[in-house]
Amino acid sequence: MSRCRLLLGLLLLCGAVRAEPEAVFAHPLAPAQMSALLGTAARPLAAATGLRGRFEQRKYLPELPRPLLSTGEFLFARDVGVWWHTRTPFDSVFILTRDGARSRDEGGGETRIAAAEQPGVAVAARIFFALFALDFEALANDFETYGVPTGGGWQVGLRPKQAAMAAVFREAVIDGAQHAQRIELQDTHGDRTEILLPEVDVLGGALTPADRQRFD
Amino acid sequence: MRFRLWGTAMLALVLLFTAQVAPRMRVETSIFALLPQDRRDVAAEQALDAYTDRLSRNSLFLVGAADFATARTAAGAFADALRNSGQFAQVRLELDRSLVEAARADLPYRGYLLSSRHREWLAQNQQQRLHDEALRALYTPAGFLRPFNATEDPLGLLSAFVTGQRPPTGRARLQQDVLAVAAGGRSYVLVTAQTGASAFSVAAEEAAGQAIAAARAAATAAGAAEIDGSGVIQHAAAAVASSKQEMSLFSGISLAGTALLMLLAFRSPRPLLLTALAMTLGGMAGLCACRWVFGQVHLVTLVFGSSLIGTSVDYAIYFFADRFRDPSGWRAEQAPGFVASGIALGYFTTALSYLALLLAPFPGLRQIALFSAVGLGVACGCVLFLLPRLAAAWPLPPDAAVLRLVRRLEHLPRIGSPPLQVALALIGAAFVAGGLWRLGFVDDVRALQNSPPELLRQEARVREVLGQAPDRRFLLIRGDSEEQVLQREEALRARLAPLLADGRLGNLLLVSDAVPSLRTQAADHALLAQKVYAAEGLLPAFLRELGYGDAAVAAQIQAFQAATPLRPQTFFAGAAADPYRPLWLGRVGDGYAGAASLFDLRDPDALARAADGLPGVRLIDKIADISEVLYRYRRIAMLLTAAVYVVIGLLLAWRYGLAGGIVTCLPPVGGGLLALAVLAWAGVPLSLFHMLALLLVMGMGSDYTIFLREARGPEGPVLLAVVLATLTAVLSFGLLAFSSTPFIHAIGQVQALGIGFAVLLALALRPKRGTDGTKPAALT
Repeated sequence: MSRCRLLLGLLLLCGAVRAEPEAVFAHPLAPAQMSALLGTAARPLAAATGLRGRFEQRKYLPELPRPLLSTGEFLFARDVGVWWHTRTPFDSVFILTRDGARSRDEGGGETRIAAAEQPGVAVAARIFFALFALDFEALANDFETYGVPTGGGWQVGLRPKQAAMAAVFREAVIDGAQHAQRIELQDTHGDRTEILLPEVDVLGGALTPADRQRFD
Repeated sequence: MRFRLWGTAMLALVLLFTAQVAPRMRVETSIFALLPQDRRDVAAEQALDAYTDRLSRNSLFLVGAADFATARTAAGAFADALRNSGQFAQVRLELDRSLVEAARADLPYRGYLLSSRHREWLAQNQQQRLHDEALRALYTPAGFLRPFNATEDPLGLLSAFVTGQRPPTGRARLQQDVLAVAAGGRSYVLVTAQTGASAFSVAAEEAAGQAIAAARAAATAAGAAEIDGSGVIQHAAAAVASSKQEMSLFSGISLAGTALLMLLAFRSPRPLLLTALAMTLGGMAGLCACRWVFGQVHLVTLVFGSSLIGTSVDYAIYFFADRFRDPSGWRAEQAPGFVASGIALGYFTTALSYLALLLAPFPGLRQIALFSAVGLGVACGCVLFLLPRLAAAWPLPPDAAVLRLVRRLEHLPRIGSPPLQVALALIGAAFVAGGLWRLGFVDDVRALQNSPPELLRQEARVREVLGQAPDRRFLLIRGDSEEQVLQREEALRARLAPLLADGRLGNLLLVSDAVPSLRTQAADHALLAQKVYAAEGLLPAFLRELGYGDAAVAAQIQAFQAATPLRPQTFFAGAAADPYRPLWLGRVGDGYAGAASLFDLRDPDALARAADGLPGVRLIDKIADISEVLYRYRRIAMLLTAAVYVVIGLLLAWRYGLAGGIVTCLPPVGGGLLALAVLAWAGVPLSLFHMLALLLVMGMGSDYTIFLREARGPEGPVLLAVVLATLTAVLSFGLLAFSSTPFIHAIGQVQALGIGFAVLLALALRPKRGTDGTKPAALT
């Protein structure tokens, strides 16, 4: 009996941990209705040319007792791409544009992947851009969209429409208010990544020359 | 007796044709099948055939529209229409889950597969770089781009191996579940289709062409603004459609023209029907012979042969023209006494020139030669053995228009005065000499293979949109075993690495990219065992650094030790092999072979140099090879033509004496030379096929001069026969000159011109006759 209760307790506990994401996937939401869900909060984002802020990324791997944590700063420029500067545990810059991806280390070593060579890069770039811009019209091409309001904000769920993508990527959950604050990505084979964006500035005008240079 | 024997033989022929040959007729349409094979290396030829055969099954279409959604819908309609047609073994639009999972099928072999970059790092003890790269994948978004996640592939070794392979979809990207590409403000969705194994009959090519046309209509209805296709099947379908159209149009016109001429001349349906009988039997015999000797018939043989069989009309016309020799008392049984020697000698010289073609190791020409020699022989036999019994005199009033024409023809001028002969000969010689001086030649096979400009435009557009151009050249890699082929491919890739690095070669697709040789796999396994999976190796250290426990480390090492090498059979059983399947030729002759396809080859000479000297590797450039062969055979054909002219000249000299031989030879020889000179003056470059047409001019041109010489009795009927025969021949060959197939066009040009000139010369130089009161007349 006590064993039963323990099991039940464990199940409940698991349920509690997973309650949030499961909940959102019970609420399919057409992209057209997204703007109602996002409300006035996310409206400034539509006019924004970009976002800038800090990030915390936690990667949860099965069998690994604690998540792998990295922190740093990012810059998303709508017409250019994503600049992702990891500061801890090591210094590394990752740049994703429509033309491809490249990363640069503190040692100066640079790796480039041209989008022309790796079809996956172009897919990743498209999704990344849509996530930051909260462009659900674009996301709806590749994902089934789900959404619920939360206290003061919203939660959106994404599941790949196409079997081809579903074979590697299971789902994403995004929490936010004015902009995305937390993104959780779950792959098909058990790895999970959580990205928090605690401090974000919405950029209105053109990129400063210094910012533009980051993508060079 | 002869009638019975021949009649029985013809009945047997009809039975054989209807029961055996017609139902199983296979018609070949590729121009390559007409051309000589390189017999120096049979296994290489087999491998080449296997590879081109596979490539020719593939078609690729880009369905374009203003936006992706419309393009996607239209591509769906296009693919559905192709699928529903049942003409394609496989039609691919959506990339389904199985395909992605297939790409992950390398997981069990991870202990044996290494990218060249990681192999290099490990060999040089640069484990630190691998370590840093793996950390970056874990802590930065770089990891999202890997096909295997951190748990499956902590160091990213397998991910690097898989992403190092670059299947040739050019700039096309996965968009939703399809491959798409944007260009010039339009969105294009990729559809690929493969025809089945039995797709090389005319019917199947036609059906595939119709299926593609229907799919185009469906896609256009669904909003497609542009559909570009590339693939051999479309060219074949277009060739079949145009040849079929030409064949029915040309043979329709030439049959109608011939029938009209015969009705006008003979005023009775019987000669027409009997001539048709002789032609039909001749055609059947030609087809039976081709089926028996070659196993199939080429489309060009049919087009060419159907006109050529028209020459059999000449024998029948000659036979029936004899009717006018004796308007009141003619009996068909007597006719052979007056025409048989001309017909036999005429056929003999014609057959001689065809037999010369049979000597040329040129499958297409041998077919045409066999078809014509046999077909004409049978038609000739029908005229000589059947017509005397089946034909009957038809009423001929003494004042019939034909008779008046025949009498008029007897006054046809001939060039009798020596000064005029010399003057005309000098002018002709000057014209011919000037023409021959200007003569240009063309041997490029691409000039002989024609495709509708619209199809060529589409292919160019596909290359442009995909940003990747497959080269017509490829490399053939042979070995004693599959393992040796793979090893040789690896050696080849190492040789070509500098070209790939500096862009002289855009991309290279090799099976060994996806399935390395067992030797390489064993070496990589040993390298991994020593540097990565050993107790002191990179992997245990890396996993512990991340915080994994001993159990996780042990599990990874165990998985490594349990891995097996990836073998070609295993690989090709899975869907991941699809892009590589056409390249793997498997068993060929007593060895194995694979092909390497080349993309964006910018420096062919550097490639040839780099690949030179590698054992088992051969650069294949079929266009250049065939052009070279065409050049060789054009020269052979020139000699052959000269030889045939000499042999026929000797034959005629033996019968008519030296002077008579020369005079009899002059019309066909002069006709041929004048035809060449006209073309040369018109600036038409000559190909092998013009040369071969010269042979045929000799064969047919000599018929007329022989008819004129051999004629017994009055000259009028023979002249009528020659005029009628010329009209029908020039009609049918003149039509060939309008063919859109370049070499049929070439043959038609030379034939029509050559025969025209030959007949004019034959008429002008015909021997004087004293018996019937015809006066030698000067040219008026």
